[in-house]
Amino acid sequence: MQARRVGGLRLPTRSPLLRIIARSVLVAVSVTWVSFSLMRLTPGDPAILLLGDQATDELIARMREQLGLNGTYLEQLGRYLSQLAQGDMGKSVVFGVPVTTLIAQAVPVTLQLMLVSITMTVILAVPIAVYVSLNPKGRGASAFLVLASLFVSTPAFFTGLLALLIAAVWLKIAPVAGIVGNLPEAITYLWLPSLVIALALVPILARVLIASITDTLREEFVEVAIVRGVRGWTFAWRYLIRPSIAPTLSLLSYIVGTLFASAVVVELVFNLPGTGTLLVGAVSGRDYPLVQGIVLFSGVFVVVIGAFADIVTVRIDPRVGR
Amino acid sequence: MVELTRRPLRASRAAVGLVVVGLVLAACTSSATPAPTAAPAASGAASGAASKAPSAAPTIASAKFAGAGPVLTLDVTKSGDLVSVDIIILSQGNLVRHDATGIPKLEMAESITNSTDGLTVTIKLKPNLKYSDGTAVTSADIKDIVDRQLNGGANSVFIASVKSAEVVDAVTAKLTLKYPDPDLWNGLSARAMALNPAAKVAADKDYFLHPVSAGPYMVKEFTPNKSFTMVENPNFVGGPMVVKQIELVNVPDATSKVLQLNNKLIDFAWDIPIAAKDSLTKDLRQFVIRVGGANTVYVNMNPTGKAGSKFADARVRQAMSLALDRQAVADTAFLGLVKPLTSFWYDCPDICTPGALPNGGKQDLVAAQKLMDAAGVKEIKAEMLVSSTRGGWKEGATIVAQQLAKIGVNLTVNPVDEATWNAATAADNFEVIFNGGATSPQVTMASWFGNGFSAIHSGYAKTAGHDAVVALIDKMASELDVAKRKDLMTQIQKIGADTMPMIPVVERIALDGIWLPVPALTVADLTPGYIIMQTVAEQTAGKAAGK
Repeated sequence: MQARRVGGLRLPTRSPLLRIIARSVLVAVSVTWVSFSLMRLTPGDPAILLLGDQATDELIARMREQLGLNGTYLEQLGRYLSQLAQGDMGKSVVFGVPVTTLIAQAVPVTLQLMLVSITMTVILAVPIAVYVSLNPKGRGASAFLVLASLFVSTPAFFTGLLALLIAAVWLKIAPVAGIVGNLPEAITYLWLPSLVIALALVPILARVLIASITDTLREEFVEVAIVRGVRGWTFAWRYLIRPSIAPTLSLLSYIVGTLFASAVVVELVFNLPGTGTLLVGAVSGRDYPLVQGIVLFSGVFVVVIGAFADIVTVRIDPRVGR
Repeated sequence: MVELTRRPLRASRAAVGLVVVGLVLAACTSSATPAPTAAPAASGAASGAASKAPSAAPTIASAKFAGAGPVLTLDVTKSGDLVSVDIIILSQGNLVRHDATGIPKLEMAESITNSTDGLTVTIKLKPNLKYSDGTAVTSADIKDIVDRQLNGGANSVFIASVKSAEVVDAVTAKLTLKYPDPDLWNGLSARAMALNPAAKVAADKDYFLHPVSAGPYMVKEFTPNKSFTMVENPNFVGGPMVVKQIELVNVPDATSKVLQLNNKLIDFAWDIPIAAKDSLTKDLRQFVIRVGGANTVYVNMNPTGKAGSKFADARVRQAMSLALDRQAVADTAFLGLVKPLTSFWYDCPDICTPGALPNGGKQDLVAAQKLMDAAGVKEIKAEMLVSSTRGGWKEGATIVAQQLAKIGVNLTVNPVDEATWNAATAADNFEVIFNGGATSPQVTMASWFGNGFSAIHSGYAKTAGHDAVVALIDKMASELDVAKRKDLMTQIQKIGADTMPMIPVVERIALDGIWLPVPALTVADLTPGYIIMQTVAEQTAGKAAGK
């Protein structure tokens, strides 16, 4: 393993795993500090919200003490980091239960939503990208460009409401809200919200793939394959998609980040009890530990997925790692 | 090259197309999939709502209620939020319970008697009361909840007159008061005094995640922020209930709530957005209730805080009141569902004083302008905070701002979330707030005019002559004679009209919808609002049919 020295510190620069861990820790610390500080800067006090409009100053002070919200910013930050170092994210000040319990309840819903969304995105984006790459001046390509602009620029809450109106209310081919069970049976509840998310992601993924496939089409090995008579799926997968896929993998962490962001709106519109809904409630209730917990979880998750994508990219296309 | 590859790829494109179509078709089978609630029955999503014999009340096996948010806690000393209180009222025992007209009636208490000086209250429990697990209800449980509330409990304000509690015998407890309290029965309702076995509360730190019950329902399952289900309590002194099981669902998004209600995924929804009134299906029974005992939406100015001189002159505040066309606010912002106010409270039957506002609450722009001229104020520019989520409030604030601009009071409406305007109030960091009140008239009066939250944080408590109002409020708080209380109330409102610390606009209401086959639910005159869920449950239990 090669390493370099910075001051007295020996940094492992060649070990992807160590780089990933170092990056994850750095991001986790940054995310923790930013979310902690932002919540304290936001106007609002969970003690007042809990006590309602009849609160007296004395009651508010006592409630703040009970909730562990007393002390200066630095004292509170110190307490929180100390807890976190022991693997304790603290208790929700609103619900009075451990933050980890609340996140653990919500995460499966969000992960399933993300899984279906990514699957739909890939299923839609890959054929579209191949088609548009091979027919760059066709009507299909023009239609894709128009629709891509439309879906990318339309907010998810609007697309969500429109989808609900059309699919759930008019056509009655989707449930109005909620989720029952887990995948695969939960697909009936997840396909519409996932489609809403996918509609915003497909144009992004497809565009990157189109650019990559267009480059690949200029490669000599593609012409050789054609001359050799390679056809069908073998040609599409081995000579077009696979060599072109590396740039899209680097998009994965962006996509996962976008999915978390979209989940906030989409879960709310479709009444799915995932991390997005949990986050909105936590922010409204100024539930500091819960907000910090969700942001920390999401941040680390995105970093880990990004790191995973980096590793896979290197495996698929070793040139990237050089 | 492109031409060369098009042909071989045709089959693969078709395959991909088939996969996509297959996925969509598979997903579309959801139309045959049961909804995430109980299967629809005779009415709404309520399951088992079938046995409606002419001579007996209908029984409903299960119903789904959507409140205004999730249940935060079942410990009434930990939160004053109304969703939790609504559920605590249903799932824990009360000494006193409000009936459908908002009048407190004895429930677990057999008697509540006052000493002649009004400073000692003796509570005697009904005989043989039991919790859902068979544990006897005792007077120690009364003492326990009083002690916990007085020791920093979130709802201690409702028993502010109580100094201490002691056990006399197994079924008798004695409360010692600081002053005679005619409002005590309201305070002894579940908002402050839900009963639980003292020994179990002390022994189990997680008791309130799985409490027993002496109320109409007992908790079947409670996972905070996830699920809440309660079933009929066979030991409830007022039972049996006709709705055997209630599941509470949290639907944070207003549009989703309307869609779920329209599609019968929920049986009863509280606090539907007023703007959605015309989007509700015609079959659904809609009704409006006034929220809380105070029942007002009002404009609260800050006469001494950040805004300082802008609203310091009472004539400016009176002018603002006179400049309002309350009927226009009621008709436009609240779709005609509310009444414009003529006094500081709605026209309540006992202690209210209709027409107490200047000019009886009617608009008089000429008089308003004269007052502004007399105060020497030509123009005011200020920010008006308003909740971004409460139905009709933003619209109401906008109309109020337009009307006040006619006399030179230019308010910029700033919709913010609830936490922000609560914090702004608590920190005395606001100019104007478009707000709403929701407790008993007496508690509200103390808050607005006495030494309560609003009066202190709006700076009204620092204004000249404030002591006189406080004295009247204290006197009313211990006045047992209704006629004298009304007289005191009138005097307080007279001072209120002169000093105008807050400008009442319209009644505060909530729009609700219900699918349940309720025999005779007449809720238009209900008060206070937080009893609505209890009332719905009781009404469906057949009590409205004269049970």
